[in-house]
Amino acid sequence: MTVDHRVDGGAAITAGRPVVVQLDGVTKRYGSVLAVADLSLDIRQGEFFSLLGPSGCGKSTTLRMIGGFEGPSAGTISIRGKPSNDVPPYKRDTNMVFQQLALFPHLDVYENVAFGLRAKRVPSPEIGPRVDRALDLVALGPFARRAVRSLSGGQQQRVAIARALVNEPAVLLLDEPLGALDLKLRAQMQLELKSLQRRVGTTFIYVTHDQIEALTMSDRIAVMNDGRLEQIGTGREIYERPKTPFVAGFIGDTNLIEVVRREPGRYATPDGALSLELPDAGDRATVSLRPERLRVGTAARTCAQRAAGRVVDAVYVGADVQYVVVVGSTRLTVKTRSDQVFEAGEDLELGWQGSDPVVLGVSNR
Amino acid sequence: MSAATTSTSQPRRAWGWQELGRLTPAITLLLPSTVLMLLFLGALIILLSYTVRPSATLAHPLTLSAYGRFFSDPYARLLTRNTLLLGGIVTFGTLIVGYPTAYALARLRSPRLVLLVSLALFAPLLVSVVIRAYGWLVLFSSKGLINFVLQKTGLIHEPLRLLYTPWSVEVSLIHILMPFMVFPIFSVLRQIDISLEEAAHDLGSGPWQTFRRVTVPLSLPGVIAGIQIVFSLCISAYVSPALLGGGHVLVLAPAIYQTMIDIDWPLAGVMTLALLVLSLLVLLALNFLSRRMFTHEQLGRAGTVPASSRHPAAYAWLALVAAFMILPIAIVIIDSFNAVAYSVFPPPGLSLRWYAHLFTALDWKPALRNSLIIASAAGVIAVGAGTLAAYAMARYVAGGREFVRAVFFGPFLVPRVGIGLAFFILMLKLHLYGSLVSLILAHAVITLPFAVAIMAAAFVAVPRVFEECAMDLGAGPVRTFLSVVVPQVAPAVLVSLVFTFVTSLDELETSLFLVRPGNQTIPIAMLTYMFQYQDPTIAALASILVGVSIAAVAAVVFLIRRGRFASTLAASVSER
Repeated sequence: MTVDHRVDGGAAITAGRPVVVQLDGVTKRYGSVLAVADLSLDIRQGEFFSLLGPSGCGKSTTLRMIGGFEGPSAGTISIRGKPSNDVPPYKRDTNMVFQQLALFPHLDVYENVAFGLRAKRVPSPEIGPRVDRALDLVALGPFARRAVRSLSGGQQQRVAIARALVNEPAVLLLDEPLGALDLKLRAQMQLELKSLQRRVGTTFIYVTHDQIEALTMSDRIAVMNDGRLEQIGTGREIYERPKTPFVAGFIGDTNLIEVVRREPGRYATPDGALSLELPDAGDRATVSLRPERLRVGTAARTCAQRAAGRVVDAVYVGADVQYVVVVGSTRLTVKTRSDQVFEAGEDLELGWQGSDPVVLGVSNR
Repeated sequence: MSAATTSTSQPRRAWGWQELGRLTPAITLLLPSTVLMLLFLGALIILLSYTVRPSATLAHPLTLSAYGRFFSDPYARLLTRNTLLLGGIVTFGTLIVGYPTAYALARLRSPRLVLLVSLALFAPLLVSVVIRAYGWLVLFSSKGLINFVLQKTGLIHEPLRLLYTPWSVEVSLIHILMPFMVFPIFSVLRQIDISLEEAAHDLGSGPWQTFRRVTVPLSLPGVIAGIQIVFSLCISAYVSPALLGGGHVLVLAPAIYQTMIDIDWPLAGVMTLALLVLSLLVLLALNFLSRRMFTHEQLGRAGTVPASSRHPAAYAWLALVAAFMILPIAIVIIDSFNAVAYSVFPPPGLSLRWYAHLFTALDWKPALRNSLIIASAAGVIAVGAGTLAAYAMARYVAGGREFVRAVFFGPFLVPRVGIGLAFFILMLKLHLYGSLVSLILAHAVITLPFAVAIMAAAFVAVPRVFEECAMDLGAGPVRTFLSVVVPQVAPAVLVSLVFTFVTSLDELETSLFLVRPGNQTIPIAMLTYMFQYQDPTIAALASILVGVSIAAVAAVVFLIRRGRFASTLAASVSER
């Protein structure tokens, strides 16, 4: 199944704006290891764009190639329409917020932020106001003369962002910048980052392995796996219409069901116990059915499609119950509100709506 | 997709101008140190070429007669055997004393106490080898402290003859080389994760068994490093055998100097080669052994809280070793106030006459001036070249790092007397013999390995991300190096400057071959004076130098403490 990822995901609010970063067939090899394979992307002006995938999927390498720290083995990276493969980082119109922050320990907050301006020989009368504005943007104005080590993790994070943004880059690159923060601070910084991005209007390219983080902040998400692009689109598209088993499994939990066609529009598991009505998709298909889309008991009876199963495991997770149900030889995870309770070993009825199962393409490789 | 296909189909050459361009920074950074290394290699090659000459003055015909003389001469065989024996005994002695010391020190809980004991152990390094040997001379003399104590306690009635025996040479070398054994073992012991020992205890192994089966095996890399350093320094030591052996301890290093004086350069060259081969053989054998033994790496993180013990025996042992380390220096200071012209304990009276004598009767100024000029210039050259080389190694020459490192450590492997002989001949050829330049270059070569080692360790601790970040913010390579990298390694630069300065100031074995009478350095002037007179004038000078050294160390400790915040933050950031 071939998908042109370039036009895919056009539903984003930034569609139609000028392209800031363009990757065209970008490949990166380390010896015999293929880190990034034939990646093509357009990232548009003012977009919050996330590269999402498990560790080792090539997302950080991609970001580092955009920043100029690695050269592509093949393909072209263009920034504002200018092919930039051989432009060193210090001559690129990009700035990076590093995972390790890399705040210079021998400089105070102000000097850290001023570093880029001084390096670019911005006239000194301009430096003061620009640094002040950048620090105000991240609410660190009063901390200008503090040593960076005296700041909290969240504050250090904001210094790193101000230090990058003060240079007014065409695109801001963020390499899992929230990875070192604790969960609560992280959630708060996600919202702050998103609102900051809306205010300054700079294009953000954000690398993360955390699907919730990507869903929370991004205008568009590119899901990567094993150096390849799996799918690109808005968070909703990727969650609700995953194109590959990998995307379906990586973004949220799902049941992946292998089915064969019985008659036009009707598919079933090989043992026939679970049957689904689907739009026609060939002789065999993989179907994603989200656990929270499945209904049980009385709620299942109103559903358009149903199956009978037996509970093998029930786990109470506060307001929800998570069941493992077997339908014939198929194991399904079901997540539902805990108003009607079934015990392990009980029979129950499962139901879903016709639009719930998503037919997945062959994984993109 | 068409653009992608064209760029993939472009053939990439494996090697070309682009790759050479990528290497330009590394080549530039390695240039100054390469010049020094070429000088060193050139000197060695010239020395080698002299070993196949009939004599110092005759270039032809090529002959192996010097080798023949070395291998057939019973005296040369005696020298070789004594050298090996001395190396073995001293290495064994430092290990026996040094291991428990390193262990007790590594397990001290109070940082203040660790600092205090470390100072006692390592401060003697800052005191000239000549002074330390002189301290033992005073201690071992027939009316010295040791004979005094033994007689007072009634153990002996007649003073023992301690001086000018192999024994006195061995003890003084054990004293001089002790820090080189303690330090590597200490640093390895400090890194052993406490949980490994806890796990051993948990699995039912008692303290002794845990020590034997867990701690000792894990600390062996440090032991091997210690043995390598101590052995190679010991067999090339000149001062102790020459001064405390009194002509009775016949080993290679002083013999090489004597042979050079006798203008038998070919034989001196062969003897140097023999010393080098002995040193390399032991080094390589131990390297082989350690590679066979330690393929394991400690899993997980090193313990943040080092294990500690408060056993009284540990304190007693540390106090004893500290006393042993301090004693020869303390006795020199006491001796400097001695009222009489010979070494006696206790001094019959106190006086400042030797200080007066130092400033009136003798002119130390030319020697002091020479020493300061040489040490400053050599220090700046070695640290400058070493810093650039270490940076190139840390960042650019990933593949050839081991090779580059091995090359830079050459001057450390070749015995100092050998470097002296080689540079002596080279400088004669270059018409630089007797000049300060010859000494500056030789000292820069000798101290380069230390500068490279210290700076390489410092650069490893600076995460690469700082440089990437600076470049990302628009700073070019030079600006990045100067404004981001150098400030973070400033403490290490300071440490290597002090280290190279002190090493040069104290350098004797190489300088011996390069100075011309009347144009001496401080250690050589002291040694010469000591060979001629045995009065405490030298003690007065030594006391002043000890005072200066202590002040210098205090200043460095102060400066590093002030600058420590930078490295602390760098460490905390790199932990993320």
